[in-house]
Amino acid sequence: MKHTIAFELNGRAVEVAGVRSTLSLLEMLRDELGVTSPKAGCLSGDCGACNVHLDGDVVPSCLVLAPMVEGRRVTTVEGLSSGPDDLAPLQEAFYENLAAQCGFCTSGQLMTAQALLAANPDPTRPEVRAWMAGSLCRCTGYYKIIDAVLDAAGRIGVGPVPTGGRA
Amino acid sequence: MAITEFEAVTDWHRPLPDTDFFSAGSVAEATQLARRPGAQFIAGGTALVRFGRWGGQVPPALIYIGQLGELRDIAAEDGSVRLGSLAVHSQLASSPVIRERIPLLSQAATEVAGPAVRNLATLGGNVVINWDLVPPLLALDAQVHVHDGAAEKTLPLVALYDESGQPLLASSELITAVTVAGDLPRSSYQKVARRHAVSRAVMGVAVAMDLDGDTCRDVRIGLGGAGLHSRRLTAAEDELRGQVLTDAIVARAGEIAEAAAADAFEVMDASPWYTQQMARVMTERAISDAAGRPVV
Repeated sequence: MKHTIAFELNGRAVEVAGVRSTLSLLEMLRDELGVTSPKAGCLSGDCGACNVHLDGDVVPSCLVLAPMVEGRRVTTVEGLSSGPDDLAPLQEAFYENLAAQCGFCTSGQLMTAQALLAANPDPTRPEVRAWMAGSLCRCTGYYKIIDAVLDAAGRIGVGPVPTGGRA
Repeated sequence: MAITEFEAVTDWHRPLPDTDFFSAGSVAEATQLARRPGAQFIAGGTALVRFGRWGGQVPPALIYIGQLGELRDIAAEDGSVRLGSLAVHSQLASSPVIRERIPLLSQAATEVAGPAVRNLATLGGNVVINWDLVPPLLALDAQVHVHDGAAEKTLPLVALYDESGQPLLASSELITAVTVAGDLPRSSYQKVARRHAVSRAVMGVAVAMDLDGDTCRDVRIGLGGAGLHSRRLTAAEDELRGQVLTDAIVARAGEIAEAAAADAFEVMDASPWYTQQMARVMTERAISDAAGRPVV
């Protein structure tokens, strides 16, 4: 069954035609819309590499079917800032704390951490560790990622990404 | 692992087969749409998509109920809490009503999957696939409300499943809510898993208890895991009720749990022997923790 899906992507209205029912949000973003920051890792919701925001909540885009996104708001890393010269505070913190190595998991880590800081702007280290548990990294050993999230929490302007959603 | 299983696992980047997909605007419409041959409800979709990729069946028609906001409410009632079936795990974990009245459920919900999956996965879905919230819900004496389009019926959660752990629901029967008792003030949830965060419980044991000094006034125990269908542990409850909780009686309850898990089956995460051992150990820990005794 084919659908035409209209939704908001990073603040901009988009429409995708000819979408089959079981296309994932991840596939729709990457293959139909060319938004490649969400990565296809485990495709099972275990690794967090495909995490995006759906109505402000962080979700694994590999487990969301495209028709479920109709009329909703999706935010990816591309929506966190306007480009490399205008990094969001969380991205700056990842950069300065060397929290990315190969970078495969980084988009998912950023979206996951952004959701934490939006709901809890001043988390403790154990809270960061617990929240990031579903976002796997095979390079950094996690310490630098946790440091970066805590560092970002200390910076001004790490509010919710401009998509709203329930806290 | 057989070669065919290996192929199934390594082929999971293949697209899911296409299927019909209808969004329901009301419970009545959902139950009507679900009368189509082979139809299945889908809400969060986490289990269905995940298992579909792993080679599980994708039904010919999906009836999407995720937009039925009225099924997401959590409401305190007299002596119980009514949980809408579409409440997601992150709601169960953070709801002030649940944290205050039934902390056992908020604790268990926090231990299911990771935070992103918890934003999608629903209570009703967890119950239908007989997953990790079922042992705590059994310990909370949960009642399940099921709507077939014409009327709502209520049945105890313990009566929802057949002997193979499958829910006894027609395809057009929709779980609309789960009501749990908040009558036993002490509780504990103990889980062991491959990775404590994210992974399914190899064994999860939930205990709800009321104490009078050191004496167990009342208790309910639910247990289950990847290799053991969820169940109430009534034999151990009977052993504990009215007794002073000594090391010996806690150990006796653990032995009952081990014996009750004799039908454990082989899964990727655990052998039947290991599942049985964990039934004993986690039962002892959960009882001790609920009673405020040292957990060994």
